[in-house]
Amino acid sequence: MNKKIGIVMAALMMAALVMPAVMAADVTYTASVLGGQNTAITSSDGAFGSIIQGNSKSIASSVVLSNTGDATAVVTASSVGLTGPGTTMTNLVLTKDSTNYAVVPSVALANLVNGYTATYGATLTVPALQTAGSYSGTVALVFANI
Amino acid sequence: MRIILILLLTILFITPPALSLGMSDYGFGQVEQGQTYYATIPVFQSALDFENDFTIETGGELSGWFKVMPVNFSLGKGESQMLNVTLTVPGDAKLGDYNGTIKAVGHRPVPQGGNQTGGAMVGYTVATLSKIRASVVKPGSKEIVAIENIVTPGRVSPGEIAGFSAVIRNTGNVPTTAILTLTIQQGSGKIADVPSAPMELALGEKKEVELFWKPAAEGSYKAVLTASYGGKTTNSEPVSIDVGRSVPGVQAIAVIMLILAAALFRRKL
Repeated sequence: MNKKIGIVMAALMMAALVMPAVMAADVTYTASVLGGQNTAITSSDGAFGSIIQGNSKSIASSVVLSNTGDATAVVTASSVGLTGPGTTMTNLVLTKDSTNYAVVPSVALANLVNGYTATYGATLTVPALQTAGSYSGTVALVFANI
Repeated sequence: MRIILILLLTILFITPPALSLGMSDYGFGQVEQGQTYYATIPVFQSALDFENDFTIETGGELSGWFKVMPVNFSLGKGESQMLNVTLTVPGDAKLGDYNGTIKAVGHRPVPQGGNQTGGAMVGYTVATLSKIRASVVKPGSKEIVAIENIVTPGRVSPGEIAGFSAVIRNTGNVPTTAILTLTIQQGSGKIADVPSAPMELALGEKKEVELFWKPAAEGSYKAVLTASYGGKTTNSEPVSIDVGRSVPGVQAIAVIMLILAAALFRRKL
């Protein structure tokens, strides 16, 4: 009787050893991922509103950049200025960490290391004799791999 | 612990990567005078981005030698566009290294925050730039990449990630840069393309590459590995992949052993 039980138990144990090996097989995963910078503008605010002639106005957080890639991004900014009823206004400056970047006609901004975010303020200076009215313009940001 | 690790890895691979606006650089490697070469370069946006319309601009020494299609395209959040690049090297091109750029310029301004109205307004637009390189060599240079030691899963379950590995080897007589692409087909239709990162191969050098595909549905598929280098390609033989639930042979053995044990016990009684 004990011998019979032993044979059955041995068979059951062998079966039990086999099944967990199927249900819990180790699998090794690796990945081949495309490298490079991946930068987005996560927020922007370029609305200066009304500015008196001869004065400046700033936006503390005008554009926020985030690089979620695996390489540093080289960032350049360019603009022709703000156009409107009068002369094109070209005194537009982006500021980060007390460094000013005059974007007209173009400027290299600080490199953005992957995994980091950069916040730039913007300051527009209106000439003393600037014609009154609404002005608008565009700053083009270009992201490239370092 | 093992289950947690597998779940974490699965999340990493099935969750769309948090990519933002970007474009890969590309090196054509050594190109011969008078020859034409082809490449594909992806432009991609993430869920952080916004719907945008893009135009391609080229620049640099190579700009007169290559064409990019499409020139105009639109991308939504999380979308990507493959650019087809054709490089035609003039027959009288001077030997040496050349550089160029391909820039995808977005036309729509970034959606604005702020609460000021009227007055002066500045909008931001985005663009991304890819650096292109090529080295002009004399005709007779041979760029050849062989695909060796292909390992495929054979059979996977739905939702399981299938891993493919291969060794690529530079068997030519000049250094080269290669991309290995896994193409999954079902019948006459293409299901997926999974590219690797560009890999530089010195003379005789070999590198192992692993690529992964997550099947969405059960069925029988074919997989082909393609090495792209210097405008040329090397294809592997197609291999079959079956996706479906089944009772593996090992599980069947366990069931048979249980039956035998029960039969033996009953006989002895």
